[in-house]
Amino acid sequence: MSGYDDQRMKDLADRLVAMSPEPPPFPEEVTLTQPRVSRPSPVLMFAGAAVVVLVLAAIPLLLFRGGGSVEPIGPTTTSPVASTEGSEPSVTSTVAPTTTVPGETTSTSAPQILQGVIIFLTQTPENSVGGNPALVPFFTTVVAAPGDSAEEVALRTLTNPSLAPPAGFDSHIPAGVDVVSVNSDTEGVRVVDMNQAFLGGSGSGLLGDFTMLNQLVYTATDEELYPRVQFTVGGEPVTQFGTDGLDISEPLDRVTFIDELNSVILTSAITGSRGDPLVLTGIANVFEATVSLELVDLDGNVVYDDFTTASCGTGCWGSFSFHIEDFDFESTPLIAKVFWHSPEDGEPADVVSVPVTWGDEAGRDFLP
Amino acid sequence: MITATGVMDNEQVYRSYAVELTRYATGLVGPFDAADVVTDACLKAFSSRKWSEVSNRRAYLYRTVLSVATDHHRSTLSRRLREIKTAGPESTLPEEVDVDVLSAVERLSMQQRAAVLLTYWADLPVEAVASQMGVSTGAVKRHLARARKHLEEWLS
Repeated sequence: MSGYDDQRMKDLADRLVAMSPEPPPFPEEVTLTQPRVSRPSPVLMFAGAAVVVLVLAAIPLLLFRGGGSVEPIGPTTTSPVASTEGSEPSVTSTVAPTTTVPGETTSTSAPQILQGVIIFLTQTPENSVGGNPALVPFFTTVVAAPGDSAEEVALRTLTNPSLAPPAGFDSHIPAGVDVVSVNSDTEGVRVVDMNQAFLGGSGSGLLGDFTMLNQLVYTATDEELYPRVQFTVGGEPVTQFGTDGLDISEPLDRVTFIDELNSVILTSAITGSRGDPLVLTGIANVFEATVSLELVDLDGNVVYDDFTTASCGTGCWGSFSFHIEDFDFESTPLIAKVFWHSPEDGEPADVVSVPVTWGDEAGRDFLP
Repeated sequence: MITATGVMDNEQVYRSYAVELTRYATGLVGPFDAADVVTDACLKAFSSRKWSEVSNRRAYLYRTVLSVATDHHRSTLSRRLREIKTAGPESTLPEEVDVDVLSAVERLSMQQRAAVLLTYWADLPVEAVASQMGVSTGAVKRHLARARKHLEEWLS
């Protein structure tokens, strides 16, 4: 075995844990109905600000849907307690005096909230080597019912026939496919019941079917708490899906059909506020695990470039992240291009291009 | 409203696991931010709609600590270490803080740190580590192999 042996690893782990401070006191604020306000993360702070803007913008919509009655705008909550799933930002803003602590709703007089979710759209990468589509996560805000979970809202957004992806992006989920229910078990599996139309697949061939499943899987799962998803129709596992009758009766995860995707996949939506670091994470299976990033302005000028090493490469998938702290983002709008350099000609390959948006430019609403 | 019984349940759970969760968090993000991570993780878990249905609450809390630690971003430890190094030898650190060990661990990914801790501190078999982390056993082995290799490079 190369590297540290087991005994040295154990010693290191023990020395590390020996630095542990005293445990913090019991977080009693969870017993209150007030949302936490201490130390929100920058992403959530941004999301909160974006949602406040969107709540105000949505007042006419709510007026229309509510038959002329307007509920008072209640507190905006950006606490982590609003979302329990995964590391992706999910923010709930109430438009009535309700709390976002699950199970402690004090008022449900207004049936709608604005919720921020992550959905995965597709893109045809530039200079594609394998000819597979790229997945790109987007943060968007939608109107939802207070009891809906973030993942259910995200899936309903992704399967909404009125979904209008921005230019350069697409979705392989055909109109008519719909989510019936979403439940989560205690073993890290989300159980998503779909309607009968789901069984027909994408309608665009086997690759389209894989892409459709990957969009749904990545949207329904996260990398930590719920990494797997079980699709059912009428409560039964699906044994015949799409063009080739794929057997997907076992839970799927983000790796199951990963080889049907572009070699560079982004897993975090670019969100934040001007002045915040730009954080971009993903997974890649590229030559020597070297992933490159360029920020390009609208004239095509490269204003920033960097590279990083994924945790695995050249035949295996590894995770990577870029964390840019000191860049002047006042020069936005920008396009972030993520790719690897082909060893044959040195040219960028499998290039994924994502718009970098900040503040009220982000959290775009893809639904009319 | 959360009932008095519910509050006691959560508090009992917390008191049962707070020490080990804080140690786990220390291994993930270092001693400076471990308490914050544990507090955030417990708030997140206790507020989850699924919390009342969770059968293995210890495992759920461990997963939540890892999730919160990942959000916390590993660069936070890097920043703390930079501050310590900038402050110089005259800076007063608690004697239990081992900067060399932290400097090595800082270079591991959060997943590698979790795999190392669950394997060598919690003494879990690879299958249990995989289950705890929500990844395959192959992924755990890869994380451990890479962690060993990195540590060999940086500590030897």
